Amino acid sequence: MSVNLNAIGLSGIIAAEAEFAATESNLTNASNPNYSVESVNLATLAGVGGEGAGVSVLGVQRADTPFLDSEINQSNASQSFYSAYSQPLQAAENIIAPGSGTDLGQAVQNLFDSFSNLAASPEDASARSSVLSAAANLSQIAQGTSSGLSQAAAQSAAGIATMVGQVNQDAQQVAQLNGQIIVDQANGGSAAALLDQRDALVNDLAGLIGASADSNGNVSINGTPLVSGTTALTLSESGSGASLQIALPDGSIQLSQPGGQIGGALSAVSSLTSLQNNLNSFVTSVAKAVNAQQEAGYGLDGSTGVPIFELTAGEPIAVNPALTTQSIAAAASASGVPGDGSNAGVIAALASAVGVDSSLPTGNVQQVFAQITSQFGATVQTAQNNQTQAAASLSSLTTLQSSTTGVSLNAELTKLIQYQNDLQATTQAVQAANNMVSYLIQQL
Amino acid sequence: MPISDLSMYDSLSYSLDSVLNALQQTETQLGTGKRVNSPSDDPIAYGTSVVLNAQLSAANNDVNLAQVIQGKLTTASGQLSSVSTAIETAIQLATQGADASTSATQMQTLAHQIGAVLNSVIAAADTQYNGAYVFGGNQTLTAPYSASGAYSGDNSSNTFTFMDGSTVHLTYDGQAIFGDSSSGIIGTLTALQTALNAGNQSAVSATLSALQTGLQQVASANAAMGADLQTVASVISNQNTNVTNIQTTLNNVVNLDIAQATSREQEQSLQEQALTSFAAGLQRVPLVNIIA
Repeated sequence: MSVNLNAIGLSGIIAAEAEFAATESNLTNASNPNYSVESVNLATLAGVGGEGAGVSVLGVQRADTPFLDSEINQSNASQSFYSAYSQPLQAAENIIAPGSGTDLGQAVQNLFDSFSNLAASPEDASARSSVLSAAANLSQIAQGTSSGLSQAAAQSAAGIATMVGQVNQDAQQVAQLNGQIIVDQANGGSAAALLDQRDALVNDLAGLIGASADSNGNVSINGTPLVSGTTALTLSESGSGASLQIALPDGSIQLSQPGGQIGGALSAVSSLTSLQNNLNSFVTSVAKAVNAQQEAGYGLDGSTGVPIFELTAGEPIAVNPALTTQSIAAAASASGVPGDGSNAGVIAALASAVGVDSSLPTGNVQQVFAQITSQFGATVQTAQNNQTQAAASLSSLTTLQSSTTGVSLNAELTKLIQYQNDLQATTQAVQAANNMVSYLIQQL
Repeated sequence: MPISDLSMYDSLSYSLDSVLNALQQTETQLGTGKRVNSPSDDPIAYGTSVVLNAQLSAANNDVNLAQVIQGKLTTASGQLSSVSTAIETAIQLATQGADASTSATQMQTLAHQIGAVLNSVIAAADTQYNGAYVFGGNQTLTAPYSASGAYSGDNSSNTFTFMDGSTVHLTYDGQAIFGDSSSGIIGTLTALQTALNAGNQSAVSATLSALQTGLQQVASANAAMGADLQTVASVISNQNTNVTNIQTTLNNVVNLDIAQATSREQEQSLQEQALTSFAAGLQRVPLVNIIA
C-alpha cells in the first residue's frame, strides 16, 4: 500500500488556511452586531483501504438561530413601538402638567375663584379686572395646551414619511438579497454574508414597522405580504392627523395596526389627538357653562347677554373682544345694582357643579380634569412599562442569541493558537516526509 | 455557554442605562421633594392631587374673602356703635332742650350740637369700605345719604355665601337702620334740630321716644352684624383647619419619603459605580492581551 504523505499534509495545510480565514473573519467582525460567527466544516479524507488520508474542507458554516431571530424581531418591534409611542406622550405630559406654572385645571379654578371674589365685591374695579385676567389666562393656557399637543402630534407624524421610505428601501434590498442567496446557494456557496445582511434588514424592518420574515426571506406585516421572493411592494402614507395610515401601492389596502416605530408614531398621533380633543371639550364645556350664566346676568354698565368667551367649533376658546370689566355680569336681577354680586356667586358655584358636559367623564370640573390627566398618565405609564419590559426582553434574547452567533474573542484566539499549532505540526510532518523520501533516495 | 464580547458590552450598556434611568428618576424626586411629578409617576395619586389642589385653592380663597368681609363688617359695626353713642348724646341734649328752664339761647346752642350729631350719623351711614358704600343696599357706588339726610340707596342687601353654605350680609338697607330726612333716627334728629331752633320745647320732648326707638334700631342692626361677624370668624377658623387637613392629605399623596429615597439613591449610585468599574476592567479580560 502506498501513501501520498505530501498530499495528506497539503490537505491539512488547506484545512488550517480555511480555519484561519474563518477565525480572521470572526475576529474582524467581533463588533458587528449583524454578524453570525462562522466555522469550517471538515471531513476525513479516506484512503484506498478506507484509512484516513487527510482532511477535506466541506464548506463554511454560519451559526444560525431561526427561532431566536423571530423572537428578537418581535421584541425589537415591540420595543421600537413603545419607544416611538411613549416619547411623544411623555413630552405631552409636560404640556398638560408643567412642573412649574399654571395648568388648565388651575387656570379654571383661578377663574372660578375670581368670580367668587367678584361676588364679594361686585362693584370693585380690581375684582372685575381679575376676572378678565383669569379668563384671558385660561384662554391663553387652553390655546397653548391645544397648540402644544397639536405640534407634538405633528412631530410624531412628520417622521413617518421618512420611516416609510426606509421600509421601502429595506424591502427592495431584501428582495434583491433573496435572489442573490438563491443563486449563491445553488452554486454550493454558504451565502453566509448575504444571510447576515438579510437578517439585519429584516430586523430593521421589524423595528420600523413590525415586519416578520420566514426562512426564505418572505417578509410580511401582520399577514400582509411586503416582500415575496424577489418582489417588494412599495408602501405609502395616506390621510393625515388621527386618520393617518400606511397603504399598499394601489391604496386599496390599509395596513391594520402596523407595529414598530411607525405603529408607535401612528398610535402616538392618535393618543395625542384624542387628549387634545378631550381637553378642548373640557375647556369648551366650562366656557359654555360660564357664558350661559354670564349672559343671564347684568353688567355694571347695564349690559346683558355679553359672553365671556368666544367659542368657535374646532378652535380653542378665546376671550370675547367686546367684553369689558363693566360688562362682566356680577348682578342677577336687573341693571343698575352695582352691589349685587349674586350672579357672580352662581358662576363661582359652577366649580362644584357636576356634569359640565355629557361627553366627558362624570364629576365636577376638577374631577373631570383629574380624570382626563389621570387616564392619560396611566396610558403613558403603561407605555413606559411595556417599553422597559420589551427592552429587557430584547436584551435578554440578544444575549442568548449571541451565545450561539456572536464572536467570543477568547474562543477565537484559543482556536487561533490551536490552528497555528495544527499548521506547524502539519508543515513539520510534510517536512519529515520530505526528509524521509530524500533519505531513501540517497540510500538507493 | 460561550459569551460573545459584543453581548457583554451590550448587556453592560443596557444595565448602565437601566441604573442611570432609575438614578435620574430618584434624583428628580429628591430635587423636587415630590414622589409624583407627572401624571405617569402615579396616575391615581396625580388625579387626587389635582382635585386636592383645587380644593386648597378654593379654601384659601374663601379664607382671604372671609378676612376681607370681616374687615368690612368690623368697620361697619364700629360705625353703628359710634351712631349709638351719638344717639345717646342726642337723647341727653333733647332732655335738656325739653326742660322748661332751658332758655331760647341755650336751645339754639343745643340745636347746633344736634346738627353735629346729625352730621356724624349721616357720615356713619355713608361709610365706605374699599370704595363701596355699606349702607346703601345694592347701590354701593353712590353715597346713600345726602347732607340733608335724603336716602338714595335701595332697600335690598347683598349677601355672600361661603363654600360651607353659610351666608353673611355684605351691604345693608340704610333706610331700615337710619331712616331718612323724614323718618327713622335721621328724621328724628332733623326734627329735633328744627324744634330746638324754633324753641318749641313740646316738639323737642316729643322726639325723645323716637330717639329711643332709633337707638334700639341701630343696636338691633349692630347685633345682626355681630352675628354675621361670628359667622365669618367661624368660616375663617373652619377653613383654616380645612386648609391644614387638605395640605396634609396632599403631602401624603405626592410628597417623597426623603429617607427612603436617599437610601435608594445611594444604592443606585453604588450600582452605577460597580458597573462602571466592571466596564473599565473589561479591557483586561480578553486573551488577546495575554498572547500579544
